[in-house]
Order: sequence, then structure tokens, then C-alpha cells
Amino acid sequence: MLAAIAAWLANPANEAILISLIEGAVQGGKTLYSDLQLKELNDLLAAVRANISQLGTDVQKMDADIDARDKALEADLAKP
Amino acid sequence: MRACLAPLMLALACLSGCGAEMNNVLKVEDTLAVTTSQLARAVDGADALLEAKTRALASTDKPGAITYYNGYKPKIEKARAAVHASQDVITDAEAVRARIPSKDGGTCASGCLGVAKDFTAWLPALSQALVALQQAYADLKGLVN
Repeated sequence: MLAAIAAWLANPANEAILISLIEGAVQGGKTLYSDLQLKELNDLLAAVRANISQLGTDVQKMDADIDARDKALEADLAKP
Repeated sequence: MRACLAPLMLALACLSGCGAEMNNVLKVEDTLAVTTSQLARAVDGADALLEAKTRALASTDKPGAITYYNGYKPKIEKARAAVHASQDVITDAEAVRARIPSKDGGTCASGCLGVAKDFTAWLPALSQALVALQQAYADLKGLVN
């Protein structure tokens, strides 16, 4: 996913899309840029967000595992 | 790595008439903040777990315990650095959020033009920050298993 984003940005054609979107806004607002282009950008952001969110879920599960392992180990170490 | 979300937010703010379609950008920032905070907690936990594992190992194999500790400690520090980098990105995004001009303001569009080129250069930096967070997750996961 992240590699895809980097590849998307590395394409000069996409840089031109971004600049034309911004220039369109400069000239007067939404009607000057394509809804399709905006959708592409928003889809990209939504995908980035989904990726980060999934990582957060994975990290939360790992954190619970870490706590459990740590407590079990500390209990063992405390045994005489 | 800093400031990669900032121009993104500003550019999107302008694209959408300074505010109407900011949702996806703001959601990215909010989600990144939650994930970063979860990873920060996991890094602290992993540090404590490493200490406990090392002490447990040391009771039977002191050299092995030292090797084990030295193998994982740098990974934990690297994960902590990834968390700090991500926190910088969030801080910058928050600063820009506060500076977004109103829809009727005249400075928004001209400001956007100025950051258009930088924006395309900074978004890959956001990708790099995320890659670092994912690497941190993978490294910490190795400690648990």
C-alpha cells in the first residue's frame, strides 16, 4: 500500500494532477477541477487511513500480549 | 519527516474551498495520532518485558542474557524514534489545522500554490513515517514471540 502511494507520487502525471487541482481552487473553486481527480486523491487518503488504522489494531493486540507476558514473567521472577 | 501532513492539509483545505472536504485529511491525522499513542504504550511495555526476560535469562545464562538484551534494546530505541517522528508529524499537522484560512479569505489560494510542489515531495515522507511505524511493530512483535 505504502509503496503504491510512493509510486503514485513518483509519476509526473500525478504531480501535474495535484498542481492542477490546486490551481483550479486558486481560480475559483470546485467547479474548476474534476470530481474524478478529487475522488482519486480522497481515495488515496482513505486508503492511507485504513492502513494506519489496521496497524493501530495490530499494535493494540500486541500491547496486550506484551503486558500478559511481562506480568507472567514478573510473577515467576518473584517466586523464591 | 516533519511537516509532511501540514502541506497536505493546507492543500486539501484549499482544494475544497478551505474546509468543506477536509474530512479525509483530518481523519488521517486523527487515526495517526491514535496509532502513534498505542505504539508509544507498546514500546514502554516492550522495554519492561525486555528487562524481565533478560533477568529471567540471566539466572541461568548470563552471557546469553546480555546478548539477548543487546539484540533487542536497539530495536526498542528505534521503535521509540519512530514514535517521536510520527508525533512530530502530528504536531505540525495540528499547527496547520489552526492556520487554515476561512473559506472567504483571500490568502488560502495563494498559500496553496506556494506549497503545491513541496506537497508532492512531502507526501512520500508521510509514507516513510508509516513504514517506520510498521517496522517498529514488526520488531516489537519479535520480542513478544
